[in-house]
Amino acid sequence: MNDAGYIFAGYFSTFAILATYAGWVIRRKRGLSRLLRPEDQ
Amino acid sequence: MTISPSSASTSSRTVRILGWLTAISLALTAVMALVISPRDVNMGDSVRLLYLHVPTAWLAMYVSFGITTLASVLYLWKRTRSRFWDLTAGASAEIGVLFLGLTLLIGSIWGRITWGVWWTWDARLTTTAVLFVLYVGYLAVRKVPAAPEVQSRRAAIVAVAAFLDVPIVHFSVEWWRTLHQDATVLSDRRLLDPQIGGTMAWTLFLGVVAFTLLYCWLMAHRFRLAWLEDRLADRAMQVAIDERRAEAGVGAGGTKKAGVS
Amino acid sequence: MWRDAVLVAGKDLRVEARSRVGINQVVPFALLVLVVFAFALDSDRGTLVSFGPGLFWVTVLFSGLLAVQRSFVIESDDDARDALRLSGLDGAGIFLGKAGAVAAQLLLLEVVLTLGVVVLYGVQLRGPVMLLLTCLAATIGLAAAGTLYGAIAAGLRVRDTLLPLLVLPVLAPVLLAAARACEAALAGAPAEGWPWVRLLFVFAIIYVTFGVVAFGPLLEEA
Repeated sequence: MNDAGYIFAGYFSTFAILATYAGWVIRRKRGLSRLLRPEDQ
Repeated sequence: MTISPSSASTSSRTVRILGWLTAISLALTAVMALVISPRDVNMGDSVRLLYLHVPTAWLAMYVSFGITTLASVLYLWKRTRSRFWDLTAGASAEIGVLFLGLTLLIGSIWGRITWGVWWTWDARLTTTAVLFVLYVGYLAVRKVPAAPEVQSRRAAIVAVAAFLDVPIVHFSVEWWRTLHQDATVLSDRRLLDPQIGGTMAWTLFLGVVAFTLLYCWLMAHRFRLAWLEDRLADRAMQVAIDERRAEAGVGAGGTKKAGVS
Repeated sequence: MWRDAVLVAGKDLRVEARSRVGINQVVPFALLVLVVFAFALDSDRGTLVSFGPGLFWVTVLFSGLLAVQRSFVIESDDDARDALRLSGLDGAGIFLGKAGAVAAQLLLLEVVLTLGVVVLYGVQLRGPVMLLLTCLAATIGLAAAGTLYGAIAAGLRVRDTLLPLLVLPVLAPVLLAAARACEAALAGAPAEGWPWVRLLFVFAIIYVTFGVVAFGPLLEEA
């Protein structure tokens, strides 16, 4: 594959960024969920 | 999938299944894009980046920001006003900005391969860049502290104002670039529109499906997060009000909250 | 609504005339930007002439931001904002008045800048009708969108950084269209300019309308 470096870099960074974002959202969500547990969420 | 915020927990089975479907379809897309599908006649292997670039662009512009605009309008309209729409607008915009950022990133890499430059002022990239900043601004407005209704209303107005600008930006930039294209870019027009057919079309389709699933899954979590943040803010305000009542010596007639648990 | 608009515009312009911030600061600032561009770019007559329209409108844009910020700063003195809200003036009228005052100031500025561009850059004026229409349409659009976003950013501590962030992407097409229209006029080929002028009027209509509708709700506090 020509330009394989660029293409793999593109795919890798895309999935890395998406995974990081998802992880961040889920982690914060779990934290808040624990904090507010007794409440009617 | 229950959308009622109070009862839905995002660890519900539906969301989990959605997550798995998303992961699988994304993996399949990657495999098809990188391995199975052929290289393009004109563009070569760089077309493989388009299987990410196009879905993220479409999802961001049409789905994410479309929903942000719709939700903002619904919030502004008295009959349908509700926190739900405000939170939806914000969550969708954040994901939209993320996707659009990825669009620009992948587009930039593609441009590097095709034209040897990381950026070029062609119509599509320019419009995308302006759109990106437009919605970054929207997210910035959401973060400015104010009374909840003021905050939501202000954000909703900004969302609609931004949406009004989108077609104007699109047309003006299109015109501009069509009038002022130099020879190299014109000949690259062929490169910009690959001959999609067969496997390539299926791969693109799969990519769009995968990113749509991803959007839904991310929305489920991001909305839930926004909802919880909203509950927390409500709670904090309630505590502050109760404390002030207690200071004033007025019995609040009811449970005295000792603080956030 | 129109009566309120004239009232507010008159007030804003009178405040401006008395404080002379416009004359003492904004106009010199704008001329200075023109000069700075000449330093930054290779200022042999060729480039400045060809960049003239673009530089002109960039300068108008930044000065417009100043004018809008000023328009709302005068309200935050002595809680004028609350007085404005309680005065019973129609939200739409306030918007038109404020935007009108900003537009008036910008138009005056553009006259000065045109002189500046002619004298400092050696631009030769041609196609006056198109130039005038461009200035009119672009200025109305600038003032309308600027006032709308100015209200959104007003009174916030992050006001000075938020306003440009919000308004510059929105005004990008105005900048683009106005510069291209002026270029067409100056090049003696007005036919190419008319689509841009049309776009400017469309933009102006859209944002004036939206401002009229949204300004009232924006001013409401909960």
